[in-house]
Amino acid sequence: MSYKRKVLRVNLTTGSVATEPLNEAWTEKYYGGRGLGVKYLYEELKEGVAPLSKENKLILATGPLTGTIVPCSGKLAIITKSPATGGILDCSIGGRFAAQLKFAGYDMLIIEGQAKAPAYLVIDNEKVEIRDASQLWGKGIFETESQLHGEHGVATSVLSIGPAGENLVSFACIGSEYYRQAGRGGVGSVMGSKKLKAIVCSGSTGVAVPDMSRLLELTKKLIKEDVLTDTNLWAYTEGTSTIVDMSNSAGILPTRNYQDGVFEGAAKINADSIQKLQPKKKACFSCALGCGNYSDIKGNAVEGPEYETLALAGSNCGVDDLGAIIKFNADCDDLGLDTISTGNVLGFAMEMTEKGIKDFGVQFGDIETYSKIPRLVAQLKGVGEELSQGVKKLAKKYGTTDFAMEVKGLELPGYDPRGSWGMGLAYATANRGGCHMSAWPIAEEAFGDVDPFTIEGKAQMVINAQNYNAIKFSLILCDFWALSMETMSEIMSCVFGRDVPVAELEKAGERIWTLLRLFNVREGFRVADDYIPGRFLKEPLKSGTPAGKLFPPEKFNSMLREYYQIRGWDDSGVPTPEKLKELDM
Amino acid sequence: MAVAWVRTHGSLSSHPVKEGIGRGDGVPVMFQGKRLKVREVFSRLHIPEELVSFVAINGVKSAKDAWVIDGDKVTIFALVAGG
Repeated sequence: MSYKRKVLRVNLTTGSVATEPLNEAWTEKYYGGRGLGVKYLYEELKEGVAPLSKENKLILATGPLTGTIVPCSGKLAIITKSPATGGILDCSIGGRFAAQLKFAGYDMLIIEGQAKAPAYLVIDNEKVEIRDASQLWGKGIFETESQLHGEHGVATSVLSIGPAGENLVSFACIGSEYYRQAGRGGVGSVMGSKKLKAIVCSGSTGVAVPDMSRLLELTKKLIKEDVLTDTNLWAYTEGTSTIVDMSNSAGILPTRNYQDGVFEGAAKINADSIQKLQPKKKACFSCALGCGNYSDIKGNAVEGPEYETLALAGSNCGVDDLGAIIKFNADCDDLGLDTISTGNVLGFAMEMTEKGIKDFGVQFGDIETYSKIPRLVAQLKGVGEELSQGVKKLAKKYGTTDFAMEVKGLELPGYDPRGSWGMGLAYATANRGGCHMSAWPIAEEAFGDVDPFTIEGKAQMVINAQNYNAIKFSLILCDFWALSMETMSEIMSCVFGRDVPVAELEKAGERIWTLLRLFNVREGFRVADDYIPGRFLKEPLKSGTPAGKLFPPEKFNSMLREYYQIRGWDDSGVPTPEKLKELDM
Repeated sequence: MAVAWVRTHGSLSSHPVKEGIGRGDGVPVMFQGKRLKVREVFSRLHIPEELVSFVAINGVKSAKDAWVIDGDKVTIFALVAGG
């Protein structure tokens, strides 16, 4: 087995640092990453805990493949209760931190309590210290990371927050290696609420597997025949920016706060425009794909911009100036802001201004004001203070929920579901809110041959994808490796030293998804929380292939009912006792 | 002789490049008559259809059995995952 069989638990209130055995019975059902992290949080957190209170916990989980040579296994899962939604939140972040944590001897790090003064954590194998971070507090992620590398060595890995996390912005993120983020749901503000500025980690142990020769042979075969293939190499050649033209051609590119799905300036912010900057390539630990496009334009260095940033901070704000988007991206990375939510909130503020409901002083395409917004938000200054609350709270305050593009309090990413009805169901039922990482039926519908404007078969399509990703993100394999369940089974059998059949993984995927749902149900989430914004149900798209299309409410409701039935949940969206028994829960 | 200009993206972007045709406006695909099936474009460029996500003609998503006419700009997108 590749586990370290050890959990590191740090309480910032008491200053205690302790290790304990990993619950190995749970690893048999939940494996690691998302699954195991959520299991720990579900069991340890009481119902109703305020996300930014000292009672909330921040769990950093590795997986059974972390630290091995299995390709695309370098990510870290971070699990907590979300301040944006009040429900479960799991994020992942690339880079090397996960491997370092495993090499330091831990499968998981659980952070509890709240420090009295700004602190940072240093993990150097068995030596774990809580140190004073008062000199770092207020600094951006870039400077924080540079200083910590200077003090602890460049070989260490650092997770840190910027001013946005310190100031408890509802969409603050955690950064690592300057340009990588655990972006969504306010995970950075949970860290900020604990007054934890950073975590520095280095480890020097190895990861044992039952048969290294077999794993080496398997890895060689996988890299050649399964990873570096035409199915995955899009991530290397152009990366996610290629999706700008795809979404625009399919008429689902969020434009001016989702008022349209075709952006007239798309050609200025697409993959071709980024390739002209001749980006350098970067990869996570143990990754053969190297999706990171590192660019530097006029002193603004970024990895990306990724599609989601180009969509939400570009077309969604009516901005077609790639330089301005890159600066916006770099500022968000440094300040510790999620670019998806920041762009979404800004698009909402622009529409509020356009409609004369509330003048936020920023118009669609107004690059000068747009460029100032991330700093105002992160520092809670001017309009930034109000925008820092996120779209859901703003919409409630002004009575404009129909064009608040969020689900469960999490701002939507870059796909308009009026041109891909399955994506609407995926948004509505994603446990962490408006999220594209649980299921992405876009590939089959808007970008494929499946009719996007029918509900037939879509509930099952979304469920299959959610269960698949639940297990994939519990093994912590990268989203960009389109591997089969059979390949996952082959890898796990090799790493576990026992047969791990596909059926076991499929059942675990469903179990893990259900556990996330149970967390939210315990917090009071029900069918009314599985919604999509009113705009999608009432206003037809204006341009492109899906022009004239909306998502008819009766179709959406019918699809949701079918989803519950297939899932074995009751009409209110609660998993039935029979389903829980079937899943050994 | 009619001509359509074809661009490929994602992992498919290497196909025309490998043949030394370059990028810019794309690859010219010449054809006799008034129109050509999109699938014939795949065939001319040796692009396996199973690797194609979808095709846009003049920036609008189109079916793989749609017709291409003189002067059309055809964009062929490779399969992608995630987002």
